[in-house]
Amino acid sequence: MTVGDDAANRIAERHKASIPSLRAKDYKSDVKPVWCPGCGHFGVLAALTKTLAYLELPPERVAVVSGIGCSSRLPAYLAVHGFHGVHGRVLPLATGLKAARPELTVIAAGGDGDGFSIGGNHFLHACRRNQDLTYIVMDNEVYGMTKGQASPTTQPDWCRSKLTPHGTGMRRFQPAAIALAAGASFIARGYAGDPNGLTRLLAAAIEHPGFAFVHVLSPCRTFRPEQQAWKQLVHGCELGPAHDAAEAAELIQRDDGLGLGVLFEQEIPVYTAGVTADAADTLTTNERLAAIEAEHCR
Amino acid sequence: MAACGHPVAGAGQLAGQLQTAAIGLADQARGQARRVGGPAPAAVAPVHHAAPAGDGPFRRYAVTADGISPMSVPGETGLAYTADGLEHDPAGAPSSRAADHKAQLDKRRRKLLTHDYGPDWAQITGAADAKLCLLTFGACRGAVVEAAGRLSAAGLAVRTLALRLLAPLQQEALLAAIGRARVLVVEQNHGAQLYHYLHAEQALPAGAHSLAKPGPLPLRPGEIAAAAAALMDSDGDSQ
Repeated sequence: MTVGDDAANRIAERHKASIPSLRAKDYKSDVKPVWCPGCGHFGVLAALTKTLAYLELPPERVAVVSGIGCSSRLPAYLAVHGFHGVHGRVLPLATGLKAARPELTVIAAGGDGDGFSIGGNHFLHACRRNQDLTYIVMDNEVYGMTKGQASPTTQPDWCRSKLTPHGTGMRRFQPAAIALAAGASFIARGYAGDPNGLTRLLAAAIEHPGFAFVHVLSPCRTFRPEQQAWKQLVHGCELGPAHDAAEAAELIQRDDGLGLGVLFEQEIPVYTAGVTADAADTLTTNERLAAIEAEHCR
Repeated sequence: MAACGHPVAGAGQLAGQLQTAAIGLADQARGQARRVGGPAPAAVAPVHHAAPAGDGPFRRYAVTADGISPMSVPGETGLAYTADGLEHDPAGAPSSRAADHKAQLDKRRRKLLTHDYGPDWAQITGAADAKLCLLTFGACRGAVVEAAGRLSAAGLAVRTLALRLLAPLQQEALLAAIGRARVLVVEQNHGAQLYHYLHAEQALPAGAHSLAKPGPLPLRPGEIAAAAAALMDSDGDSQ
C-alpha cells in the first residue's frame, strides 16, 4: 500500500463515518409506550434515539438501565439492551454493569421520585464516584405512576394530592446543586419539549468522560397540567457551562431552575473498577486526590 | 466453613444455569469467619446462549421444553433485549395478557421443578434402616452428627440428614431418605421454621418432633442426644 492509498483510505473512512449507518427509528423497539398523550417522556425518548443515531453507537453496545416509575419504562421502548430494575436502584445497577463491562455505553434513566427520594443516596455516591455513566432524570415534580403524589422536587405549597392537602411544607430537592456538591463532573439541564436541544445535551453527556447528570424538565400532563407553561418559561442558560465548581455553584443558585444547557463540565479522573483510569496518569493516589480537591472543591 | 462454601458455590452455578436468583442462608458466625478453602466445584453445564436472531425480535423469554430460554449478553449483534421487572411476553415486552403471565410462570416453575439437582440436595449419614432420623440444615449439622455418634455408641442406630437445598424442596427424595425412622427436626431458631416449612410441604412423616432453640448459644450435641433419647423413650423404642 502506498502513502497515497493510505490517505485515500483515511478519507474514505472519514466519509463513511460521516454517513449515519442507523437512524433514530432504528433505536426504537416495537413496544408502544404506555405514557399518557402529551407526556414529556416522549420527547426524551425521541431525543435519546436521535442521540444514539448521531453518535452512531451500535445498539448492541448500548445498555439503558432504569428504576421504577413512568419514565423508567424507557428501556422497553428502545432496541438496545435494557434492564427495568427496582425502585431507586438504577444507579447501583448501572454502576455494576459499567464496572463489569466498561466498553459498553451505559445510560441510567428514571424519574425524580426514583432518583432523588428512594434512590437519593445512590445519586450522591454516583456523583462523587465519577464512573463513566450518563444519568438522565426525567423530572415532572410528581409521582405519576402512583397517581399523583408529591415528590422531592415538588413545590412546598403544591396541594393537589390528597396525601398533602396543605402541601409538603418542605424545601425542594435541588438536583443540579446537589449533584455539584456531591462531585458530579458534568451537569446539564434540558427540556423534553425541546428534543433537538436535549439531543445536543445528551450527546455531550454521553461523550463526557465521567459521571454525566442530565436533569430533564419533563412535564406530566395528567397530574401537573400547569407544567405546560414550561414551554414559555424555559430559557437558555447563557452563562454556562462553568468549569469551576465555585462558578458553577453561583450559576446554579442564581438560575431560576428553568435555565437549559450544560451548567458544569470538568474533566477529572474517571473511576474504573480495578483498572487505572488513565495509563498516562503517573500521579499517586494521594496526589490524584489532592489534585481533585484543588480543582473541584476549592 | 467448607460445608458452607460448597452450597454457596453450587447456588451460584445453579443461578447461572437456571437463569434465576439463588438465595444462600448462612449462620452469622460463619459470615463473620474467614477460611481459605479449596476451589469451588467446576460448573456442571454451560449457560444457555442465544442462537443468531432471525428477522423478528429476539425472543429472550421463549417458552421452551426445559423452561430455560436463550440468553444473550450485551455486545452480541441482533440479540439486544430489555430485561423487564414487569411480566412480559416471549420477546420481553411488558404484557398484561393472562396467557403471557401463565406461560412465563409455568416456564419458570418447570425449569425449577424438573431440573436434576443431583445428590447434593442433602448430606446424609447413617444406615437407611435406622430407628431415628435427626433432620437439620446449615450450621447445626456438626452438633447433630456428633450427637448421632454418641447415640450410636449407646446402641441407638441414627441417621442424620442435613438439607442443603431448601427450595425447591426435594420432597420425594427426603421422604425416601427418612424411610420408617422417627424424625427429630433440629434447628437453631426460635420458631422452628424448618419444622413448620417441612410440615407445610408435607415432607415429614406423622409424629415428627421438633428441637428448636434460638441463639446466640449454639445447640450442643448433648442437648440433641438427650432430646432424641427422650423421644425414643417416649415411644418405648429405645434400645
